[in-house]
Formats: sequence, C-alpha cells, structure tokens
Amino acid sequence: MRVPPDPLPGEPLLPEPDDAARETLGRVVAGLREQAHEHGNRLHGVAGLLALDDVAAARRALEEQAREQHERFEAITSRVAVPELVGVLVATSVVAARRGIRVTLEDAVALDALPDGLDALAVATVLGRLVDDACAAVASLAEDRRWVRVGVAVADDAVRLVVVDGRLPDPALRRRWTTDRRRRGRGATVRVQHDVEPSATTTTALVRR
Amino acid sequence: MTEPWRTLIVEDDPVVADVQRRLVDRSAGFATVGIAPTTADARRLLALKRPQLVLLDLGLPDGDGLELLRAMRRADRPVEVVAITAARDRATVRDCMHLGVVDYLVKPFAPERLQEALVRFRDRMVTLRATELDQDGIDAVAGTRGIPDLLPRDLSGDTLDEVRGLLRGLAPEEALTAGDVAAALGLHRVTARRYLEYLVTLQEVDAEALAVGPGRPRKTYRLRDLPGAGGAPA
Repeated sequence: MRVPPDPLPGEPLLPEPDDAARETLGRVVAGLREQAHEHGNRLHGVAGLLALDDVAAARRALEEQAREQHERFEAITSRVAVPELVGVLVATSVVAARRGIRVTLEDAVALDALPDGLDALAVATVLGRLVDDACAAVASLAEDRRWVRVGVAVADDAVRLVVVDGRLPDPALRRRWTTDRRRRGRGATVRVQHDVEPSATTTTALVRR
Repeated sequence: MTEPWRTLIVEDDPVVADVQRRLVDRSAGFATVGIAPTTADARRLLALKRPQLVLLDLGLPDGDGLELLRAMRRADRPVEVVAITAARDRATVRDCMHLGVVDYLVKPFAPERLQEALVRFRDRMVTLRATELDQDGIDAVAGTRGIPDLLPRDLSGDTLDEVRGLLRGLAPEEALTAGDVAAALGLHRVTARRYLEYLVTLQEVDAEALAVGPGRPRKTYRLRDLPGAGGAPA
C-alpha cells in the first residue's frame, strides 16, 4: 500500500523553543514588511490621484484601504485573544493577500486562551507552517481556488488547528493518515491528519501538552 | 495620423496602476494597451498586445520584475522599459542599467517624473528611427547625458555634464584634481569633488591617489578607458 507523503517534508512539525521564537518572529516581520510595502504603495497612488486633482478617487482609495485594514485586523483580533496567534494570522493573511490568496478564520473560532502549560510560540509556529503550506499549495491555482480557511479550537488540554484550502482531491492523499511526533522535554505532541474532501483539502494538527 | 505608442503597465496595486494609466493616456502620443498585476499577466499581455513601452514595477506578488525584464531581453523583444520600484539598492539599479532601461523611477515619484520618463522614451524612439546616428544621437539613446533621477538632490545634471565635458577634453595621460575642476567651472573644491566621486560610483571615472610629499595624498580623476579604445594603461 502506498504511504502518503509527509505534508511538511523535511521539517519536524514541532520546533525547539528557540527555533519557534525565531521562526514566528520571522513570519510576523515578513507580514509587517509586506504591510509597509502595501501602505507605501497605496499612499503613492493616493498622492498621484491628488496630483491629478481627482479628490473623490483619492478619498475612495483611502477609505477602502482603511476598511480593508480594519476588516482584516478586526476579523482576527475579535475572535482570537492569544497575541502570538494573532501575529501569525495577521502576518500570513497580509503576505497571502498580496499573492491573491484569501486567508480567513472559520466563523466558529473564538479563542480566549490556550490550555495551561501549552507553549503559545510552539502553537503559533505550527499554525504558521500549516498556513504557509496551504498557501504554497493553492498559489498557482485558479482564482476561485486560492483560499485558505483556518480553524483554532481548544479541546481539553490540547489545541486543534484545522487548515482547509482550495486544493481539489489528490488520489494519493485520499487515505486518512496520522503522524505523531514527540519530543523529549517539550511536553507537546503534534498530530497531523491530512483529509481530502470532495472539493477541498484539510490538514489538522493537534498540539497537546 | 501616427499611431500612439502602445504602453503596458505592470503594477499590482490597482490605485497606482490607475494613476499611471491616466498619466499615460493624457500624454500626447501614448496609449495604455493593458494593465498587468502579475508577471504571468505581463507575459500574456506582452505577447498579445505587443507594447512598445512597458512601465514595469519590479516588486510583483508572483515573482521578480527584474527576472521578467531579463526574460524580455533574452526573447529579444523590441520593447523599451521604464523600471519602477521602491528598491533603491545599488545592485537593482545597476542590473536595470545593464538591461538597458530607458529610465528608473523610485516610488514615491511625482506624476511629472513619469511624464519625463515618457518624453525620454519618445526621444529615444525618434532618435532610433533616424537613419544615421551622430554622437549626440547616440548619447541621447544611450542615456549617457546624465541620469537626473538618480542624482543626489544637491547635484545638478547640467553641472555633471560640464564635469564630464571637462574630463572628455583631457589628453590620454592627463588627469584632473578636484581643485582643477573647481577652478575650471567656478565651483567650490568640495562641490567639485562630490561630482567627481559621483562619476566614480557610476564607474564612468577612475580615481587615483597620488602621494605627493607629506600630508594627504592628492586624488586625480580621469574618464575610464573604454574597452577597445586602445592604449592600455602602463
């Protein structure tokens, strides 16, 4: 029987603490850089509209920018209260948006805190990797397939991360499968399932104390 | 009636692209034939619309605009490019110059600056259409008469050209100091040195430090030897 490939080849899913901090910080910085680029670009455009004396269009562009920013940020901060996860979600959605990929939270998400003893940076890193992986998978697909939905939920002493993306089924991945990785001294277990639904691909990670 | 210059805008921000489109369309003799927000769209529109001019943003979401420019050059497309970017690093500017862009605009730039680039393109095309090119024509096409967009704010393109002219007039073994240039053009020595050092960064001029007696060595400047111009330095 064919064994499905590892969804994150070559990378252990759960990083060492220092690596998690570095990786998550890197992801957030990339998001900030992208955001600064986007803002700079938009302001350049607005300045151009004003130079063309099109005040109405300049105003529309500024309002749209403000609305987009607010919606993007508000949609995440109103439902996730863990700063590390907010940082990664905002950053990955900003970077993805520039590549024409929509990253959104599932409607049901409402996360006040992680279970006691669970390292927020480790969770943020796993989440960042799953979202990056999903974005990379849909980046070259048609526009209506370039989307990623993220679910985050606490289940007893664990947190369940569910990332659904617009990939169509891959027969090689049709079988449900699981990998477990344990690290001595880290107190966490990650379980990944790679499900293929009729019209989307779901990856689930369970990060446990 | 002559056909307008077909212009393709490669820019991912819709507002910026719209401003560029309006500026192009209101410039006499130019028409926008397409707007490409990605390199993939740009490749498609290049083949489909066959533009004569591309306003190319180098920072595109799905790839490197510079790579697209290289691909256009490899494909030997008869198209001129105005590079537009937020990147001001020397390597990018140098790559663009090597790839023969008409102009290089750094965001944010004023609308007049884009119109200046369009004029520069038009001049180049008009000159290229002439059956014979004289030195002035070649200078105009090759852009060797100064690149004011890259000039530091406190340097002027005209003075830079005067400095170039002075160095061009030298005999093969001759070189000038900043003091010589200052005296000839009525500049302060510090100012003259700024122009000379700027030409050194453009790799148009070679500087040589000569130790003459005690104190700081005297620095002399001369135009860089052109390959094939003969007279290898001893």
